[in-house]
Amino acid sequence: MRRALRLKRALVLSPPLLWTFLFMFVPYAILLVYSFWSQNYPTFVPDFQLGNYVLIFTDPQYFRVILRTLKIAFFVSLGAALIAYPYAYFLVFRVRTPSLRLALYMAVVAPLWVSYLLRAYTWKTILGTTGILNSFLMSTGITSEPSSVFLYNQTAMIVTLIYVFIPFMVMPIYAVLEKIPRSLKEASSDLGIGRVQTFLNVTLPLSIPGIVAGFTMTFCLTFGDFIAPFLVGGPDGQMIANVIASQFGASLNWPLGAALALIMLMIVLSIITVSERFERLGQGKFA
Amino acid sequence: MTNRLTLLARTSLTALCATSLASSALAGELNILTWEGYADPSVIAPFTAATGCEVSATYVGSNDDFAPKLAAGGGVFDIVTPSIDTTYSLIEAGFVDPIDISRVPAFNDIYEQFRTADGILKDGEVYGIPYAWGAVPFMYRKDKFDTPPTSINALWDPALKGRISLWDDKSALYVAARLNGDMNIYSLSDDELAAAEEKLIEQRPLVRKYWATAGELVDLYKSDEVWISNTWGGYQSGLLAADGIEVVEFIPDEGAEGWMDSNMIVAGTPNEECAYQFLNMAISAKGQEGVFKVNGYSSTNPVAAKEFMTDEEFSALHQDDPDYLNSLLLWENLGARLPVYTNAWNAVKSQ
Amino acid sequence: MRNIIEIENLTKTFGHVTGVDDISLNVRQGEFVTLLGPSGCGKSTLLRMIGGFEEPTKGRIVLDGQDVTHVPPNKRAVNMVFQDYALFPHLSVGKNVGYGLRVAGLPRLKVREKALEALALVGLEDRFDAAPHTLSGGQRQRVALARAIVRRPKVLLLDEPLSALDANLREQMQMELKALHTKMGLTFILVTHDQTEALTMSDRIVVMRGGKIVQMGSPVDLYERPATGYVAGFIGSTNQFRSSVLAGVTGPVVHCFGQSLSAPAGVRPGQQALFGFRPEKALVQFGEDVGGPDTLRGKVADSLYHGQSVRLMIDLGAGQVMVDLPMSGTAALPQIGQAVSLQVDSDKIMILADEVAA
Repeated sequence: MRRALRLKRALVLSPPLLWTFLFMFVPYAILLVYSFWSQNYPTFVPDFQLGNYVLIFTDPQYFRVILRTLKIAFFVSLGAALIAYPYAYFLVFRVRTPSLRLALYMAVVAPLWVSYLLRAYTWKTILGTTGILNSFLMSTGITSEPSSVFLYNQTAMIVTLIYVFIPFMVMPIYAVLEKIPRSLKEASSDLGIGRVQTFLNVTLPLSIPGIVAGFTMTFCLTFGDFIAPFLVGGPDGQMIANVIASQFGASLNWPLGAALALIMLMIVLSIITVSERFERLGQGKFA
Repeated sequence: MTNRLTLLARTSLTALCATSLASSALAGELNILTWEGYADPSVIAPFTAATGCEVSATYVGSNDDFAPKLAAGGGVFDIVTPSIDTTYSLIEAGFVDPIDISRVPAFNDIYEQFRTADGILKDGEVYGIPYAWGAVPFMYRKDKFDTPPTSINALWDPALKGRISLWDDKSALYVAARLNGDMNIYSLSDDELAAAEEKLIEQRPLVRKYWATAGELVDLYKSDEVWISNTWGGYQSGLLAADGIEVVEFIPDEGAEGWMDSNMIVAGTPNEECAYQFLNMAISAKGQEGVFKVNGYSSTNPVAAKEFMTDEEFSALHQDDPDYLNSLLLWENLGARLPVYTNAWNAVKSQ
Repeated sequence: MRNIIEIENLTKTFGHVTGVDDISLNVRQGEFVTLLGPSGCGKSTLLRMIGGFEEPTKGRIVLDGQDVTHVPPNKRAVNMVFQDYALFPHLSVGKNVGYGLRVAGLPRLKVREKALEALALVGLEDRFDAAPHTLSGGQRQRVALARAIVRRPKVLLLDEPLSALDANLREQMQMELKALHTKMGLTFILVTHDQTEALTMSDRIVVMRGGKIVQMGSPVDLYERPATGYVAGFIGSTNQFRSSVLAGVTGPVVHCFGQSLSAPAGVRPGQQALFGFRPEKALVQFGEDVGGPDTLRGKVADSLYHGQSVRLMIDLGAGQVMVDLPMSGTAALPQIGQAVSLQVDSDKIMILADEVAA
């Protein structure tokens, strides 16, 4: 009887486990194996050596690119949070008509159904030397000559990535703000506290899980991005995913690419771990 | 021809009935991994009509795409068209098969420099049939320069800050090395490579964007972002001219690299017969005319080229100028140095 | 005693719907006033306007002599206990109670002292550091109460504070609230739909319906002298019947489901009115021919045992009335079908006004 139950439980659990095993564990395991192989021009051969990892930690170019990628991911997440939060706040607490709220929410989320490339490409036409921004600045007389400072640099990448990933920031913040009972703000007000202090002491702390979730998603998505450097990045736009792509392509050095990919995975996993801690911290010990 | 008939006899009895029917009875399907413009319908449609071999093409964005695609899984592609710096690594990796020259009658019409190039030979066997060639010259917007640039150092000119572009490729190192006076660009020592890397890092603040695809460079010129860059000779300038943007190509004092693309047969292809038909077609007058008309590239087979080029065209493409051909630094396989070059280029971009 | 709150012609409309309709009401210092009515009667809206959470459409609210009609909640010396308690989930019990004082910038020690003091009033000083979600419903209720009184508001507003508690706890909390009110001498305004709650705790009950006040008065007033059939039905149970007043042999009589009773004082023959009597006011006797005048005769149709009493449904032929029969421990329960007579003295009969527009 007990055995049958155990068997049944195993059967119920096995499809998801199998799925996880096949599509998560196996690919990473293969990547791990590759990372110990060595390059033997023109391809690579099975081996067990740590040379790829040693190279990554000794050649400063990898450290520089990882640092640059982290920096860009941070600014993208920060920018997205600074824009998404007021927007989500406005939707949840200021827009009274449910249909209008839904429409404004969808206005942010709907672009997710449009190709990433198309959305990123849009910014090329906006920020370019002959682009919309320059035409606007010149027609309003703010500038007299088209400026090339908007496109093909890290700022352009950050702007584009903020635009591309902002739905991932709006969604969790919106969800968490919507769950905060209205009565909490009323209670704060009732206890003599003004709007700003109420926001800082009640709304903001309670929405930290949403900010952290959005920040983590945006950060990790940016961290793995390789399209924006290609489309709107300048000569200093290379990010870690581009380096990995070039190892799997141009350099035909899959072992090094695998090692880099695993280090990237480690970074992303630690970010997720830290963010979980942070989320709990934000909730206080009472979560 | 004998071989072919034997093969046919083995595989298809009906093919024996009439030689004229043989071709249409091939009915194979060729998957080719090649460059955009190399599988133009104007060439492919007559080929399919004549041989019955259906052709579907996949395009690469760079020579670096060939090996990973062939390494990733066999059985997909029958023909690849890598450049002369990549061919040998594919041979070494065993991705391609030797070619039976007796089945490619026009092979000996090809320029000698090309058909005896190191990159397509191994152990006395031929692995690639040269198809098209050209230079990697530089190009500038005519309206933006009072005095035409003649040297690579124009791309290091602070006055052109933000107007310079360079191909996002290890070839950037070739350019910088020549500026440093190192003409042995395919066998740079570590020190020379480091100097080239240094030079590129010095240039980087002036660069608007490293271009990755032909289309991207065209866009950069069209949207007035870039005034000077290197280019794939004849190709992008043609596209820009069609858009009314006048650019001038030039070979700088420091010389230019040359490239040459060859068709190769992927190891173990099940469509060998169609593959040979394709190889032959590619260097025939029809095939060579196609690559000239569509891409503006020079012909590897002067005998065939004479059939469709006017005399002016023939000399404009330097087809009758062995000195020009010899002056080009024809791309070479970097061999085991490739990762070092790639690494150096990545290091520039990581700055 | 002076009025702590004066409400004048207060109206609140939501679109086309009128939530509160031209209400005027004074609350005296230290009074325990209950706003009673079914959901949608406007009692909560009235309370929220006093708290400052709703902007009145018309009218005026004066708090302790000062017009606060348009003053935001954080500038009003009133505090509210919310229906869902509205405890801050990210703050401890102590921090919840001290929240207003702390954020307003009171010294930390002072905040702690006041919070402990308020928690002591509700008997929870030992849970100062606990997280709200670890508390029981009753304890959360007390924390909400402590938080609302920590600043000694001029008026404490309670929005259905006991509705989420189970019956036993609710009864206990009713007593505690009443005791707290007495101890602190604060003015309480409570909103509820529970008549028992209103009767047990209030000094004065304001019965509302359709955004208007139907009747207000002490619990005894409302119970003994409900002005309308609505009030009589909402507070306690009432047997209601409409009748003309007829001249009888010994004086005017009214007809209750076809049987006549002496009419109460104050009506004259020829009048028509709504009358009623409370189930516990009838004298119940069993048997065919017992009882004197002013007696209704019928049969037991149903009985509901309540422990201390039993409620009987009596079939009078033309209709049913209900009566409560006190149970002494030994008495047997009445049988269904048993003959019964109900003596209803004329001073037990209430004259009810016609209802206000529903």
